[in-house]
Amino acid sequence: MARARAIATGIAALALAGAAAFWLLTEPRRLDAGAVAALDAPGDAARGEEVFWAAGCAACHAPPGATGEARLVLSGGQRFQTPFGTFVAPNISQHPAAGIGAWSARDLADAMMRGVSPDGRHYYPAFPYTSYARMRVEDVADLYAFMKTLPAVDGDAGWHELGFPFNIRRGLGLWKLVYLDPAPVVALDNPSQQVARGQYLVEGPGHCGECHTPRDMLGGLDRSRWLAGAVAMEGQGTDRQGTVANLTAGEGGIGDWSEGDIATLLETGFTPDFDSVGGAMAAVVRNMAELPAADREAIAAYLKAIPPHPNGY
Amino acid sequence: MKPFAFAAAAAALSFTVAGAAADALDDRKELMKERGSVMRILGPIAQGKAPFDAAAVNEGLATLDANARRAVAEVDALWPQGSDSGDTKALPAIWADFDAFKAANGKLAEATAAAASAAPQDLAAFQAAFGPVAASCGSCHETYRRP
Repeated sequence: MARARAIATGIAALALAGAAAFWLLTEPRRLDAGAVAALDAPGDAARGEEVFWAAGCAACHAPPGATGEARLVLSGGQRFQTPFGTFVAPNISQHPAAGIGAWSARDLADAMMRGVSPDGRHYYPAFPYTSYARMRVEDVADLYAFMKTLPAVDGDAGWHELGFPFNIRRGLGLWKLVYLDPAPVVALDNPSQQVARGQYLVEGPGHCGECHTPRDMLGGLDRSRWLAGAVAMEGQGTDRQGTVANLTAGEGGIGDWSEGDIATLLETGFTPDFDSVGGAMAAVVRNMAELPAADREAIAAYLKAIPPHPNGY
Repeated sequence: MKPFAFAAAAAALSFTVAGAAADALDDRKELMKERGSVMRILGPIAQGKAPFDAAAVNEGLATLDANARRAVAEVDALWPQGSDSGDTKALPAIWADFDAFKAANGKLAEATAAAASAAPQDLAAFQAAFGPVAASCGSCHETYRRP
């Protein structure tokens, strides 16, 4: 009897230790004070508008299919059906209660670059903070200044619809230990300024890899097949399932495209064969068209510099 | 006798329907391919990568115009209910709100009709007329074509 009690006590102690370890490991980690020094100075809203288009906020947070001025109404509500459940894009308008109007620049940076909410909870990586983690804090400060100029819209967009265990938000702390890495993805040998700019745009705010790279079973990006194309995660397993293009020079990719072809697609949506891209890419093209031509050309230069892979789907 | 005749009629009808659906897939692919072949001539001109040729441009616009009119006139036959299965990239969204799809289809026809009747004789006029046409391609593909 005494032995049984001892064993039970031992198991309870281990369980407690395990829970404590889980709790410590999944602690939300914000940006450290040194990294956010740039957030003290007010950002430049004009530069912030370019960041806004590069980061593609409107494509997810504006009403679906929004064009023109409607893209600045960040009321949320778009639904993203994935194998992990359905994610609902929140209201990120300037409304102080329904949106993020009460946020500081620091709050925005922690959210975008570390996936941590102002009240210390993890965000789901449907919000592409694993890419935004590579942004410069100065760009987030500029984005913040621009977003302060956008309208305040009331209305809750609704909650995510996730089953067990994905609805245990705290568990994302473990996921982030593996998949949240702000280091550059591709090691380029002495890149030109143009290629370096392209790398920043693609791996950072552009978050192209989030769709164009295959994912593993835990939903993390398979960085060994960077931009090799993938089954689209949104709609996977439904009757809408589609594929996302291979952007490398490998088999099935865009090796025979010129840099000019890539830049033209980003501006017009037309491939060198004059097919017009559709699906989620149509909204991306609307964003890319707002950037200076030099940025689209930089993206093209980077895409010609990355390692080739066969299709990731 | 009667049950056999009924069964034969049902079989014939289902084959006809299936055949019609298969025809629809082929017909609308042909429709889209024709648009692509015209775009491969007009696109480079609009993008300034090929010299402006008024005859070629207006012939292309006329072809697109006829093509878009046919798509509007025959929309029910080209996109029959249930034809989103099989060798097609049509998405269920087409039939989820078929009126919206018909409206989008009609928007292209309006743009091509306007461009064709504008009969542009120089690059600037062509680019102005062609803009709405080019924009229509992506707006349908965004919602109605499987990526």
